[in-house]
Amino acid sequence: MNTWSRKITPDMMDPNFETTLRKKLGEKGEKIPLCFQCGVCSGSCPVAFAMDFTPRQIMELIKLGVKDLVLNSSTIWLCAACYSCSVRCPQGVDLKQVMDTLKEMALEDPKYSVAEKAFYEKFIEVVRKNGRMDEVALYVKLMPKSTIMRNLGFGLKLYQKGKIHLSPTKSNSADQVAKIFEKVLAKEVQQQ
Amino acid sequence: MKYAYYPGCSADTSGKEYDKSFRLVAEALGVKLVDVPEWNCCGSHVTYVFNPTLAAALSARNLGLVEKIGEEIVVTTCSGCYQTLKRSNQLLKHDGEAQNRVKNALEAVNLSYSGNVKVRHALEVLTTDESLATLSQKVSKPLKGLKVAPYYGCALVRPKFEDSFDDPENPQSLDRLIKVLGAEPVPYSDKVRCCGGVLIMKREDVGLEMIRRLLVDAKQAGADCIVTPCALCHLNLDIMQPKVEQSFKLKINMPIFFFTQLIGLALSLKPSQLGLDNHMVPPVTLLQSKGILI
Repeated sequence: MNTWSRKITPDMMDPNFETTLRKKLGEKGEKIPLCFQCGVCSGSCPVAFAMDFTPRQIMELIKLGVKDLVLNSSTIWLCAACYSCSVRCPQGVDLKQVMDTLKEMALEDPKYSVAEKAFYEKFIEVVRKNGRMDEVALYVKLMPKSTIMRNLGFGLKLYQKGKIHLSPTKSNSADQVAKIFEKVLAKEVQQQ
Repeated sequence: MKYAYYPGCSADTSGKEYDKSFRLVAEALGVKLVDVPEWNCCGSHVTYVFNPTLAAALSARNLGLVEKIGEEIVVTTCSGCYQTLKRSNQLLKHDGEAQNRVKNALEAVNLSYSGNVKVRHALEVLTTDESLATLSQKVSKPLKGLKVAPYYGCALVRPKFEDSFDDPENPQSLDRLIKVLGAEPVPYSDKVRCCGGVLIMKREDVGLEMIRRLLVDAKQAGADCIVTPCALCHLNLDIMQPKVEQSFKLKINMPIFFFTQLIGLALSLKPSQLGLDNHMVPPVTLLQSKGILI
């Protein structure tokens, strides 16, 4: 806590942060105050080595209300959603669900994580258009041209091994999927 | 037994040989599969972050189609789909508002879903006591001398659902299967450690390190190969293995099998039928050295 606590300035704080998060998490939010900082989550996390804050530190930052550090952290985006922390937490905190909700909060607020938005938006775009996921379509939408060019040889090898298609896989029910998108998302707009 | 079969999107691309080998071994073991017609992407955990109701609706369309063809149980090869379809069932059961909105969305495409379809994994249906008993009688070419690291990954065993079939910390289904096939499961401490999943697309450096660890640990555990029940794990461990070797200046050469391919080999099916030539790390030399292939 010593090194990063010095980085905290008042403008990063939101006294309502924990309450908002708990509310969004519903029943699962009730467990957040039970965290006693044992660190089982961080010890179990296979991506902790690459994060700026470990999962345990994120829990502490939530309690302190340091919204900016949490929603700007690499942690929430590096979380691979593997549920190791959730399964092992002795206090019953579903930390994977906490991470998902933090992602959702960051995606909603233009102040945070502009770079990360692309992956989620493009993923949804591919499913909406084709009714199915297609790794190549997603890759091409996401990666800068230079990266794609650099990996052309690799792509060719994958193609030869039958691992990828050049034309996107489309479900023959893509129009029905598009209708479901329309219906669910329209409702959301109405409610807001 | 008869099941509706939901292959998931990877069955058409990176997991082609998984789909192919599952269909073959299911048939050989008397498990009848009826394809879910006109299925769509389950939504995956990515859509869950973006909008849980949308994810549940995408899954519910598939589950509604299962009911439409008169089936009660759906089996999927993809661990991601398995988890997502189960999560959707759970959400629809406990969240009245989501349930209503999903119902309305399905009505727009002339479909309904009761919430009662049971979701099973391919590994689950092929490793029941009954399936393993049938299998042990049908094994014609035991995989003798093959040391296999059983790699379960995350989505298959976590989170724990009411009707999960294996333990989240120390699952045994693959271990049991490996023994029935005549091979030897090695104690593998990373059996439920995540491979990073789609991180390889977002942060290649981080993804490669996660894959490196799984491969090196398997090697240190004395494994000749790794077996997985997940198409995304296979993509990371097999397709990305040359990149791991290059980035970390390592020689690993660890063939990665889908569990259905190992079953197929023990049933004397041909490597080409099982899609073994689709792999980035060719397994033929290993299988020849053990006398499993000539």
